Amino acid sequence: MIRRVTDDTMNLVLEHDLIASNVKGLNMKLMEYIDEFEDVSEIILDMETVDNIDSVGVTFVINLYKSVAREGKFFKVVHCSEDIKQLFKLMKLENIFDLEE
Amino acid sequence: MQIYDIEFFSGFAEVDKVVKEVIDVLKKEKIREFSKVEFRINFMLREVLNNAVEHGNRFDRTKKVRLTVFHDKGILLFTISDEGSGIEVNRHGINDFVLRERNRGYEVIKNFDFDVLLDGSVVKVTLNMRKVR
Repeated sequence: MIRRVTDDTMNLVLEHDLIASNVKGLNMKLMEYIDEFEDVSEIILDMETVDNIDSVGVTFVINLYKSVAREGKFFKVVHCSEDIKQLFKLMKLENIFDLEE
Repeated sequence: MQIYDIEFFSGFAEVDKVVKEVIDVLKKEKIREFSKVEFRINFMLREVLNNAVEHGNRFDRTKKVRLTVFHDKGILLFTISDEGSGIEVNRHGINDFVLRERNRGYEVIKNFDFDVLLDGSVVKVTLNMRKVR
């Protein structure tokens, strides 16, 4: 996961599928970035490279959203595939955070 | 006809490898409109296999998970078993409540047009391509 900060936005760009075998590493990476959330007003999760996801991956996104919301910051997910968008809708996550093309 | 059969040690990395293999095997089957269900099968397999690793075998790497895949004229059957103690089934059989208790992910699988049958430590998942929405 790559972190890019521009102005008051932090982009977290995923580089691999959001699946159980990758989530442990992602959580460790996130621990490095989490203190910097207070310096920005918006955190964007970019899922352009994610083809596959599982429940563990979905939980990662939900926990990330919770961490961001706790800081009172705005959170959205961008560039997710049509399949993943459908899955998020099925799980009613679109009511919790924004999903953008 | 059986098209895939594997037994593997309990780990998420192994699940990832197996799911990729199964998808490759299914692609070779030249199933009509497979692209429509590829993501769903991928999600379903990860869900059920991760559960077998985590809740069934409790990450005990000495315990194995077995996956067998059958294909017959657009009907796919996935049988997954682990070495855990399984799920208690009441005398009325498996119902939605049991499925919810096991994992919310099974609700999604059912919404993806799969039929799921839990029988102790064995999970049977069927997908009939003719019924896919």
